[in-house]
Amino acid sequence: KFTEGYGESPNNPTKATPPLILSAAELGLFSTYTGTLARISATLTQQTGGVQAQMLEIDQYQLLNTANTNDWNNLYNNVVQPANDLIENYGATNQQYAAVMKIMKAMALGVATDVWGDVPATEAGMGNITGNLTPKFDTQESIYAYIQTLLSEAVTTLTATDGTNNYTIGSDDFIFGGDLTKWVNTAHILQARFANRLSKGDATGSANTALGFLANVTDAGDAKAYYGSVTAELNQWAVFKVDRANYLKVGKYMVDLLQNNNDPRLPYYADKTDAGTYVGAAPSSELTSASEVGSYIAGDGAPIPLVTYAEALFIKADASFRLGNLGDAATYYNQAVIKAVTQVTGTAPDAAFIAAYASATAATITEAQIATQKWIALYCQIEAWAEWRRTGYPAITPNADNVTGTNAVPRRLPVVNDELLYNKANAEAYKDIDIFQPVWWDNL
Amino acid sequence: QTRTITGKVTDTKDGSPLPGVSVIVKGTSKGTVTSADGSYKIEADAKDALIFSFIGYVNQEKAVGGAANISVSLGTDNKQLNEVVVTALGITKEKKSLGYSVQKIGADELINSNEHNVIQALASKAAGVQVIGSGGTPGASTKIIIRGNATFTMENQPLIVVDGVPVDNSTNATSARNYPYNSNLQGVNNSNRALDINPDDIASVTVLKGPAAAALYGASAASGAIIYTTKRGRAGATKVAYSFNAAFDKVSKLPEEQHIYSQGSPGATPVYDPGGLGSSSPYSWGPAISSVSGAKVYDNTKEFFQTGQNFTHDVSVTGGNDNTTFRLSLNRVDQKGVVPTTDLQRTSVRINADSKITDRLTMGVSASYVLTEGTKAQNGSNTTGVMLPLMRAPASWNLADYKNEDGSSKNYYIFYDNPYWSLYNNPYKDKTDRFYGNVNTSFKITDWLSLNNRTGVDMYTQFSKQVFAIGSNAVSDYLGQIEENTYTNRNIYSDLILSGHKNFNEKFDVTANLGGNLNQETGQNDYAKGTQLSIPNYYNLNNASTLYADNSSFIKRTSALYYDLEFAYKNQFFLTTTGRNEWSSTFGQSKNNFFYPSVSGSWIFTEIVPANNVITYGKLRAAIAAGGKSPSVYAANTLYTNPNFADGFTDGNSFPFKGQNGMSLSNALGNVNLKPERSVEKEIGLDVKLFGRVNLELTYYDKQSKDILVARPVAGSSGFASILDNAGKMQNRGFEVLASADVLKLKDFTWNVEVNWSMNKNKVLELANGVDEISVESAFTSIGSYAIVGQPYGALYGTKWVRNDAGQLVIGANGLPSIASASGNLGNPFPDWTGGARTTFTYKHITLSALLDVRHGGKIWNGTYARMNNLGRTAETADRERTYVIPGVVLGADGKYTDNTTPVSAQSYYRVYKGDAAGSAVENSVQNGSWVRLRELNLGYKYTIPGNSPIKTVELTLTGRNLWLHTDYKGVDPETSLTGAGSNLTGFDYFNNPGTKTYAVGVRVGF
Repeated sequence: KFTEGYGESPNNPTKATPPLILSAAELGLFSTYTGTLARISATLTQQTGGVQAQMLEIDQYQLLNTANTNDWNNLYNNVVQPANDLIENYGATNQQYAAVMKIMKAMALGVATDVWGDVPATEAGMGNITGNLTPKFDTQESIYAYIQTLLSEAVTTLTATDGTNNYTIGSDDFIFGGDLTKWVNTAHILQARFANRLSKGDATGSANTALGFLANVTDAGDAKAYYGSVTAELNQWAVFKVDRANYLKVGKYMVDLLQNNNDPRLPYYADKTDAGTYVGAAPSSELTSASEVGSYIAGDGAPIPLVTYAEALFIKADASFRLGNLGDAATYYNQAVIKAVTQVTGTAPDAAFIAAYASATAATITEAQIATQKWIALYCQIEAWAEWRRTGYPAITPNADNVTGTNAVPRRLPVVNDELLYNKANAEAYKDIDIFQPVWWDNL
Repeated sequence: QTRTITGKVTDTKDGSPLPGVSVIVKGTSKGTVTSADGSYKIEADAKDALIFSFIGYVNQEKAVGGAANISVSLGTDNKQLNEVVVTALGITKEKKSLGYSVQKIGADELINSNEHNVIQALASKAAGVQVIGSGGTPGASTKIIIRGNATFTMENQPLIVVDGVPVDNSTNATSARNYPYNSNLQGVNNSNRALDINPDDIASVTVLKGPAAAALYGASAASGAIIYTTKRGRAGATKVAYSFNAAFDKVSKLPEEQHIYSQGSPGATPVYDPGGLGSSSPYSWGPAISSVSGAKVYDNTKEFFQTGQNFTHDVSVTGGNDNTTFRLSLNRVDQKGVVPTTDLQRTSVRINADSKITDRLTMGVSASYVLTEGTKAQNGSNTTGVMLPLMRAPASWNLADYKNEDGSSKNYYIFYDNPYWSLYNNPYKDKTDRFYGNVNTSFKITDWLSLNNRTGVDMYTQFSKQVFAIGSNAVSDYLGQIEENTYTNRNIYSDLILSGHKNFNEKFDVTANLGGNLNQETGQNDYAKGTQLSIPNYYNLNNASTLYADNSSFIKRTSALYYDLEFAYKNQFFLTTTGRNEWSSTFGQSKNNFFYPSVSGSWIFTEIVPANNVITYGKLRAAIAAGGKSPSVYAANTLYTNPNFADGFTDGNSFPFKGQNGMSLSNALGNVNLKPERSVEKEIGLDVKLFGRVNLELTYYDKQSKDILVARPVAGSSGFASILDNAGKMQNRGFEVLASADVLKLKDFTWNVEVNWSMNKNKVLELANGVDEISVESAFTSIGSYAIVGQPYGALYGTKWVRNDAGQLVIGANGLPSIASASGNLGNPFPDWTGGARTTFTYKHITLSALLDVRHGGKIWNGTYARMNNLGRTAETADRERTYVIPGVVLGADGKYTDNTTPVSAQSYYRVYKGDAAGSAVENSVQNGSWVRLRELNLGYKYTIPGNSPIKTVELTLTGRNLWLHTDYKGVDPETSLTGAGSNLTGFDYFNNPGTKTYAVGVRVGF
């Protein structure tokens, strides 16, 4: 027949390989962890200040359900979906790939639930596998459990000596280049991150669980988003700085705190202004002349941290503090601060700084200290907003000149409009939850 | 008693002889054809009558009586109701036999419009046809929609046919496959490829509005068809005609700006910002320029635009003998746009030839070669664009001083390219080589049966090159970029039709066409990009440190069998039925073919009405037809692709990345169970001629589309963005009126009026299960275009203000309204009704005609206005030394609403309430796009030189286009489209390039 045999696309394949899918999912993960959600997190906790256009809207708490469709879709389309695809369709013969994908899926779902609360998780990203185009929303409580399951399954597979692996992970893994021990290490830190988050409900239990996960964690290597120097590989914070010039500056609270502390990270966190000084943008100041986000985050080829050993140390300090092991807490805290500074500046802080900010003792250590230094360390990471909500530190003042009429810092984002439109039956229940309503772990 | 009658047939227009006219003795099969000089000879009886007919001309009937010489002149008057029209598949039919509405537009109307684009030339000339231009820059595309949108996310434009063979009318954008956004929102105004048709070659246009087209052309004509017929040769002495047209364009309308206040950031105290520094802001909230020493006022916008120039030369040669006729034409257009550096050149050559090889076999050829090239301007949401940096420029800044000593862009805000600098340094050039044509062969098997074949090809290569100089803001690392894109398309089309015509005992007349069609479309798109350039002003890909390339191709095949069967009874009742079964390669597994039937009928009721002077002709008609679409290519499977990572702010990372490739499943799910999209259109109509001089055609139609093929958006959480699916129902109902009248018809003076009026009511009846709203195409975060159940298709959708139950604006304690939590419908971008009215006066050799164009309703999002308010650039914002009280109500502690009295600063008023600053709802900038315009004004003088002068005729014309425009729209000419013909978005204006008005003079000389 004249028309038969022309249905197959010459442009796109119907089968791929695990390395191709892993590479794709990692870039999806980078985009999720370092994109708009990170800018929102940084702006709401006043690490940065939105001074123009959409960033000013965020600065003024104009967080509409139409604004984050790209971020929502990116998370599900570019991380969760390829993860499921690899696990289901290629995983049986590529167990290590499947395990790494489970870690990334857990990372994506962790961000989703911390930002939006209840979200689709167990049924999500399965449109091609189960045909389910309207996944149910899982409660945050069950998502936290699901994340732990994914992570522990991944650890089990990655530490097993046998298994079927047709492909070996290598340079297709931008994060660790196929070093599975580093993936295991990262999985443990993530397990601790999500366990420690539940402190409001169970201060002691969450601390013990978190410390348990961190028992064998080492400074093996931080999980970072790595970038290159050619156009398609650029650090997107650096690109944002240029393409969206004058939208986002360093926050006044951050600049003032670092300046006040004589913190050596300041020149890495912020660029000098035209006037040669460091100036932060206060909420609603629209101060376009304030300092740009510095090279640590927004450098041309700068890697952006996703999960770090410094964070693990802060979790240890925090958990120990809650258990009343103040000596341990102080020790871990001091280690954490030094590690955090070193990872930014490349050298250990000077004696004066150590004396002032990394010499806590059992007698002096406070929760505020731990949380505030952790907030500094988590500069421009989505985790900073979650931790601020959990601890309340640092004690930033809400932007009084915001568009909502409520004098408080938002504690979640509204479920995106497209989900209300196309997953109506499941999303409807979340339609009217406002941005000041705490998520489940924030309200225990 | 039979005797020989002789005579001559001439053209009423210029008295020239008409060869090829068929002369038939009524009621017999006896007939002849006029020779090269228009003369004929036929045997007839005194009681006989002769019928003179010629395609495109009005038939005439003359009683023989005692005359030995019967000479007639035939007119091309398209207002007559017994004219002949070209319908689907090139089948010509008498208009009275048609059960559906067709509209014919003459060559003069195309030429008089003074448009280079044959689609734009149709504007306001046909009822039920909406023509949407995208701005006045050279080569900018024009979109055309007949009887409303019938599908959600696929093509809504009609099929374009030239001499029986479809031609490609794509609007091809230069875009990488890894570009994550809708590339129509920025970049240049791309051309729709019907631009390659030379208007001077067109003899007539038939608009097939619905059923007729769909039923015989199949899926590709589901949205109607526009059939262009080119001019052909005539036997007789070889004639040469030359015409020259010079046209001058001016920008028609621009947003009004203030020239009082200087550059400066918003704030309580205005501070002058001299501009051009890294810390400079783009705002114009500074102090009065007169109060700043050394500051001056510049009218940057007025200085910027230039007078556009258009020069068109056209030479045609026609001639031939009784056996062979030909027409050759050569046409050249040179256009310079109103935006500096923009231009268009088009050179076309056409040959049409027809030959009678034997008594039974005739062959004809029709072929064009066209070279279209030009330089285009950046448009839309684009810091490298024209209008964005221009309309935002503070009045205290001299934009014309556009470069620094080192040649880099000098601008008030360094994150925008100076528009002059951008035009000189970031050119976009495109070049299209195109050949299209066909060979048609007709073999007369018997007196009543013939076999016709028409085989055609349409092939083109469109090459485009976009350069961004080192330093341009278009590229995030400022290191420049080269993009090259080549589209190669080829369409091969062949029809074989067996046609029969038989008359039974003078009462029954049967015409039958039975045919088959094969069609193959192939396309290849090659894209290459080089970034991080080394040597300035050197634009070869070898100058790039980073290269990226991609390509894609497709083959689509369809085949069809069809018939068209017409019964006529006593020249009074006509019944036609057609059917087409089409197979397409684009379906999945379930179904690969579908059938389109149609039935239509007409009744000339005046045949039974006693002769009278009131209704001299009357026809009732009705038609019903099923149409539909097949899926786009390769939609059946879910495929792997290199994913895009887009957060809406940057272009994101893409593959290859650090030496690795990456793939994941495309976010568009395939579907192997696709069915064809179906539409059923019913129409009824009445055509009457009153008092012998008033023609009226009324049509009502009802088109229902169902199983609409749509990239149905799905919940992002499913891991996918859309699935191609059969979902939804939509209806278009409308009313069309065509009226024309010869108001005065004196010996030397005639006054004629023609009116077309139409309304279309579109309603989305149903979407996919559980879905009430779907986005038509991705647009802006703040505003999009949606199909919403119960609303017209394409509704603008975005953020709204909080209102109380009474609809009043609820004002907060700060004196400002706030944004409602739910976005909503902000209006229909399509007009409630449109109308065109032409009046023509002819006095001896002078013709004066005017075309008035009315569009009522149709909302446009004026993002330009909102941003200019925010920046303090509109004329309104000059009134800023005062406070404003926003009309609305305040909710008191008692739960009651009282009028708002809280004043807000001028900055809050314009930036938030009237602008697009944080806290503003996009509804504030959705405006009414209604207009009344004098679309055309033509004055013509035609003189026939008597005697043996080498010059036979001279014709002079003066033409004005868009000379007068009345609209409440606060921006550019509301005949605007950000995304052009390659998009389903309508009603978006975000720094769109402006429209133009034209003054033209033309001369035409016949040798």
